[in-house]
Amino acid sequence: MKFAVIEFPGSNCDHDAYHATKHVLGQQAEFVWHKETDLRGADVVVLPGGFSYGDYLRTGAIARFSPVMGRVCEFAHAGGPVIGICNGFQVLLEVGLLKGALLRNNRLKFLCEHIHVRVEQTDTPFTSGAVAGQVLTLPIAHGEGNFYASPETLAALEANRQVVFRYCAEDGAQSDAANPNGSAHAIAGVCNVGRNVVGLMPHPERACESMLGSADGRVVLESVISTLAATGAA
Amino acid sequence: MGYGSVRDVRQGKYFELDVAEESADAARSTASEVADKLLANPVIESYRIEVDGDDGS
Repeated sequence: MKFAVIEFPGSNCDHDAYHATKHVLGQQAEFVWHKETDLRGADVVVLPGGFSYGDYLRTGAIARFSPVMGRVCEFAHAGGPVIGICNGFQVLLEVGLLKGALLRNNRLKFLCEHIHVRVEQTDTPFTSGAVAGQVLTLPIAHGEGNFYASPETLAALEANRQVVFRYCAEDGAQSDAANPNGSAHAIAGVCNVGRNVVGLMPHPERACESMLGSADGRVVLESVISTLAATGAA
Repeated sequence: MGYGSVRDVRQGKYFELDVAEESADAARSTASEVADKLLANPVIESYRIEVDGDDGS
């Protein structure tokens, strides 16, 4: 199975994604430079974390015009699994593959810590190996992770079960104290209506080895490997 | 600070576009397109366009 890790100028978790998929999970992985328009036969696309284009204008606002994004959108519209992590999530929102926006954290500080999220939906390619309600310990590292959407969009996201990850306490309970950035409905990650495009602020790719503090992120990447293996797509 | 008359404050972004169009309407229309596509995110931002001057000289 082949992962394409898209690299924008300013990406800084591209090597984390490459390491997790190639060295930890033993899959094929290739970097794809943002000026390219060929995903090289990849089965999964990863938009990594970082500060694409220095976050100028707005996070993800310029990256979404990169040549590769046209191809990524085609891949997504054809049902291909795409995951956007942190800045990658911001890019997916800007390009319109996902609904909503990410505002400055409500307490205005950049947050770099381990948090907990609850897996809300298991019928996406990136959560199929998790149990509904499973609590994952994952790192976050962002200044703009405060999920916002209009009341109508929030209602639609909930009605369509598109909220995939929600911030919670270690025991899975929701509270304002367990919501690190003020996200509406404690949303940490969402998917599209087709469920093949998932974006989230926490970093599963940086939580794939217990030596690094948590291996809880493995289930996200292992899920897509199992999903594609089961459908014979790779 | 003692500025009791300041009742509210906001900050935002300000862009100046130098647009070579025949008319103010055409310039406004181009600026609006650029704002919709890039400069503003309509999910969280609104914008207002003012067309200033007619020949740029």
